Amino acid sequence: MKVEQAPTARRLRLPAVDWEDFIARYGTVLALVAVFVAFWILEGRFVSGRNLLNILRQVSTLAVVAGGLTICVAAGEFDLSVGTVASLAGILVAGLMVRQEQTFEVALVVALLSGAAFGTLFGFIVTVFRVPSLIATIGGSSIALGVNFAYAGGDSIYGQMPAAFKFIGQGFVGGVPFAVILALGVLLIQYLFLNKTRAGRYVIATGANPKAAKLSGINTERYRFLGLVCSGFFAALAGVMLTSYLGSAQPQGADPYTMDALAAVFLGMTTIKRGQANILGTLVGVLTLGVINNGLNMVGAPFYLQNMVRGGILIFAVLLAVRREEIRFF
Amino acid sequence: MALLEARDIVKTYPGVRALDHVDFILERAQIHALVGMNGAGKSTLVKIIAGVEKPDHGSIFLEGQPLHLSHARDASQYGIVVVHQERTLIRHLSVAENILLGIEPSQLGIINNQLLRQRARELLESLGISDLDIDADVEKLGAGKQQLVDIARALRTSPKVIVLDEPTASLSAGETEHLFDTLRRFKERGVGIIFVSHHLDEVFEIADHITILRDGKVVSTGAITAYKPEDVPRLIVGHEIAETTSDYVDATGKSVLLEVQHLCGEGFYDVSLKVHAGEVVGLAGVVGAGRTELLESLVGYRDVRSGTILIKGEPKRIRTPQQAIRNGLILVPEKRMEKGLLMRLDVLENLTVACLPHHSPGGIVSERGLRQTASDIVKRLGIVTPSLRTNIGNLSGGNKQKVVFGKWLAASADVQGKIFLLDEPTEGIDVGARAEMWNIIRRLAAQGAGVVVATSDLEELMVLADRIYIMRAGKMVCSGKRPDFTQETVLQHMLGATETTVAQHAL
Repeated sequence: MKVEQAPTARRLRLPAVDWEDFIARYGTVLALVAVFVAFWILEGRFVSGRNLLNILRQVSTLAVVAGGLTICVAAGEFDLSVGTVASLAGILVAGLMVRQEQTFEVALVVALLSGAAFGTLFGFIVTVFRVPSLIATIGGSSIALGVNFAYAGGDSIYGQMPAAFKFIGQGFVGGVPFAVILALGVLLIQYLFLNKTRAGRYVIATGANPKAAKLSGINTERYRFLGLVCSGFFAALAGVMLTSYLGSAQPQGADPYTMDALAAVFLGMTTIKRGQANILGTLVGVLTLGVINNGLNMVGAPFYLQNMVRGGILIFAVLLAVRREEIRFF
Repeated sequence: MALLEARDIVKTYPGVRALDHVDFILERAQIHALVGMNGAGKSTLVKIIAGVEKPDHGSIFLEGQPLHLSHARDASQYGIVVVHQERTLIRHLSVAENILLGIEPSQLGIINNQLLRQRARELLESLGISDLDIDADVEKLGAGKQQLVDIARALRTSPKVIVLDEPTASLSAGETEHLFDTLRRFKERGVGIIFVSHHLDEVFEIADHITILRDGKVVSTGAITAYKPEDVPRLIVGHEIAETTSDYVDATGKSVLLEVQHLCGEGFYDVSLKVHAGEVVGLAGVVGAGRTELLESLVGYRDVRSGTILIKGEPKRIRTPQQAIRNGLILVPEKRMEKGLLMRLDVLENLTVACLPHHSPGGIVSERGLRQTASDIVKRLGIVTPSLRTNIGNLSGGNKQKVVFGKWLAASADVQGKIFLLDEPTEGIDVGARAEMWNIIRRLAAQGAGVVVATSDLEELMVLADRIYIMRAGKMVCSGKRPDFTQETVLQHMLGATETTVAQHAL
C-alpha cells in the first residue's frame, strides 16, 4: 500500500516552482554547470581530481580579491585599483624579505598594511572630499603603480624566501593546497561579516539606498569607507599569495585582477541575492572564470582567447544585470 | 465603435494577479476616470495601454483595430500619449526647448531658435496655458509649472487618447483648474482622456465616466451621473471606511518635547514651533513651502544655519540623523522610494535596519530577534506581505509606507517622550491604508509621543492635527488650534490669500 501511494503523495507535496524566478536566480549557477559539463565532454582529463584541485588553486587568489571587492560594491562603491594594489603588495613582500632582509612576519604585515593604507586613502577622498570612488580608485591605481616602480624600479624580484612564506602559495594540508584553504577561510569570514554582523548589514543597507540608510541613523560614510578599506586589504593579501605561489614578484603581476574581480562580483550580482553584491554569488563568479580559464587551456585554445572570453564575461554579466534592472549605473 | 477598448486583459506578476479579466472602454470625447486603491491594478492597466507592459491575455483595440504594442514609442505613434507622475524634463534647457524636444525646427542640424520659440508659444496658446515663460530654465520653475511643461510636451502631437496618471499631485488649485480647462478643450475635439486619480472631488468635477478597480477586477463602471460621491469610497475599498474623526486633544499643558526657535536653513527662515507630549501637530503648506527642508534639517539630514533646537527643554546641536535618533527625534521621510526604502532588500531587512543595535549584542546579528521584531511589527501594523523575505519592491504603496514607518516602531520599545516627524505619511496610498495610518498616528500620540505631520492633504490635516502650523515660502505664517481653522482658512493661509491674519493665532 505504502509503495503504491508514495508517488501520488510526493507529487501532491511538490511545491509550486516558479521556474521563471528559479532560472533568473540560479541561471548563472546553471551556466557554470553547463560550461563545466561542456569542457568535460570536450576533454575527459578536465574532470580529474588533480585538475579540479588545480582549478581551485588557480582561483584561490582571485577569490580573495573578489571577496574584498564584494564588500566594497555592497557598500555602493567601486574599487578599480585592486589589481595594482595587489601587485604593489606582492612586490613589497618580496622586496622586504629579499632586499631589506626583513623577516617574513614584518614583510607580510607591511604588505598587508599597504593595501589597507590605499583603502584608507580612497576612503578619505571618497567620503570626505566626495570624489566618486570610480575616479578616486582609477587615479589611485596609477599612484599604486608609481609607488611600485619607485620601490622596485620596474624589475621583478627573485631570491631566497623563507619556507613559511612559500607555504602560503605552495604548501599542502592533507593533500589540499593551503591557498585553497586560506581562500575558503577568507570567504567564510567575509560572508559572516556581511551577513551576520551589524556592520555588515549596515554596509548592505548603505549600498541599497544611501539616503534611506542615513535617515535610518546609519553613519553611511563610515561603511563606504570600510568597504574601500576591505577591498584594499584583501587585494594586498591576494598579492602576497601570488608572490608566494610564483616564488618571485612581477611588477605588474596582479594587475589583471581588477578586471577579473569585477567580472566575478558582477556575475555574482546576477545570482543568489540578485542585484546585491554577495559573497556566495562572487564565489560562483570566481569559479566560472576559473573553469573557463582552465578549460580553455586544457582544450588547447590559444592564450589570447582567454582575454577575450574574460572581457566578454564581464560585459555579459553587467548586460544581464542591467537588462533585469538589478544594477543601475548613474 | 469605441475609441479604445481593452478586452479581457489578464496580467500576472510573481505572486500577484494585477489584472483579472478586465474590460475597459473609452469613447471619443470622453473623460474617463480610473479609480481604485493602490494595488488595484490602475497603473498596470495604464502601462498596458501605453505599451510599457504586455498583457498575459486579452487585447487592446484602437478604433476597432487590434493593437500590438511592444514599446512605449509604438503607443505614441498610434496617438496614445501618457503623462506620468514623474517629471521628465531636461535640466538647463528652457521651457520652449523642453516642449519641442526632439522635433526642434532646424536647418542643416542648426536649431532655428526664433521658430522654436514661436512654435512653443503657439502650442502653449492652443493649450490655454498663458502664464509660462517660454525662455525660463525649467529647473527654476515650481513643481506645478514643470508639470504643465510636461503636459504641453505630451500634447504637442495632437493625440487621440491621453492618459494622465495622478496629474494634479503637485499642482496648486489654480494650476489644476488650468489643466482641467485644457482637458475639456481636448475633449471638445473628440479626444478620449483616461484620468487616474486619488482625488474624488476632481473626478466628480471633470469626468464623464468612471471605472472602479479593486483587486485587479472592475467592480463598477458607468456614467459619473449615476454615482453619488459618498458612495464611491465604499466601492473602492469594498467595505465601510473606518471613520477616523479624532477628538481634539489639548496637550498644550503637557511637557514640551520639542521646541524650535528662530530656525533658519536652506528653504526656511525664522521658523519657531513647539510640540507637546501627546499631541499631533499638523504642518501645512503647498509643495515647496519649506516643510520638508525644515523637518530634514531638524534631524540633521540638512544643515541648520542659525536658531535653536530644544529637546525636552535642553538645547541640542544635531548634525546627523544618528544624533537625532539618540535624542528621540525620528523622521519618517517623504518619497518613500527615494528616501525611505532599501530597494532590492526584503521586508525583514527594511523593518529592522533601525533596530539592529538592539539585536546585535557584540556586533553579531541575532537572526531570531530580528525575525521576531519584524513579524511583530507586521502584525501590529497589518502589513500585507507574502513573507518577511519578500522583496520590498513587490509590496503595494500603502504597505511600503507602513514598512517605512514600522522600522521606527521596531526601534522604539517605548514611544513615550519620543518625537515623530512624519513627512507626507499617506502620500500616494489608498483610502483604506490612509485611514489605518491615521489610526496608527493617533495611537502614537495617545501613548505619549509628540507627532508632527507635514501634509498637503487638508482632510488629513483636519482629521489628525490638534494644532496646526502653516508654512508659506519658507516662513511660518500662521499657527493655532485645529478648531480655530476650517479647510478653507488653512488653504487661504497656505496660498497666501489672507495677508492680514499672519501669525494672528501664534501661541
